[in-house]
Amino acid sequence: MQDIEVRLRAALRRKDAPAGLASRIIAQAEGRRRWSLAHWVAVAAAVALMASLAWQYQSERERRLQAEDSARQLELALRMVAERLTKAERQVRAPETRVIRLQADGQQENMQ
Amino acid sequence: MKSLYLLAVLAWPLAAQEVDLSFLKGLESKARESSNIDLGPEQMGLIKGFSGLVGGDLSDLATGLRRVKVHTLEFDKDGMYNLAEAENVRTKIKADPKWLSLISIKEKGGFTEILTHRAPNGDVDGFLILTAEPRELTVVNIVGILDLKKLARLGGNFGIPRIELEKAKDKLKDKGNGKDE
Repeated sequence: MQDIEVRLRAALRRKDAPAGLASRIIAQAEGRRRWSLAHWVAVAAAVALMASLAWQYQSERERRLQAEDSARQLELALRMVAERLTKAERQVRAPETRVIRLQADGQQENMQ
Repeated sequence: MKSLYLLAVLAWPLAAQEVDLSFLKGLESKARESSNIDLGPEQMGLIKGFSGLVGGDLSDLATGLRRVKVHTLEFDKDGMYNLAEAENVRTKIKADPKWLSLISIKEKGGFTEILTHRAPNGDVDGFLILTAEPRELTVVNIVGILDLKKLARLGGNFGIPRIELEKAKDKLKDKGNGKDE
């Protein structure tokens, strides 16, 4: 019984902290804070990079859609030109066509 | 920056090859069907930039083009537009020595005029189709170089009909000489 008391007392005896413990803890905490800041900088950089990539992707997609739309319109316009040229050619060939003037490469031909 | 560009484009004066189409104003409301295409330098640049996407041939054809305008109006009955106004535009354009008539057809109640615009150095830098029919009015105005041979090559693709330009030219030559209107 007495032995237990002695051991308990010894275990609960007040002990001084090892020398330099406080400075070690402070140094460790500062190190953690520094890592934390670097972490946030990295996160912010990653977010900025992702936002920039997303913006680039979106603007490229918009440009691509615009290009597709413009190409469709150009196709339509060229189809119209081709149709009109074909129609004019047919009219030129038609016997009832009365007046036609053809001018190509600076040379002019008149016919009836 | 974008608005500045827009302002610059709007403030840009009409190129000599661009035809004043103000006579078409107000006709859209009278038309049964109307379609408008207006492609400027920005859109042409996009088409050229995405050549892989839009097809090399079309992109190739777009290379020389700076502006493409198409107006088509279809009416329910005859006389829904003033043919005289269209005739005036035609006369004015034909009076300009820079515009050369490629094909000119006069028919009852209308006409078809296909012209090319020549730059001071002699290059073709504009193209115009003006067609007036009793119930249809079409204007195609292209600023830039429209290579008809390339267009003919596109015939059968993109829904573009086949054009036999050389054949048509030969037929015209076969008909011999005559008088202009």
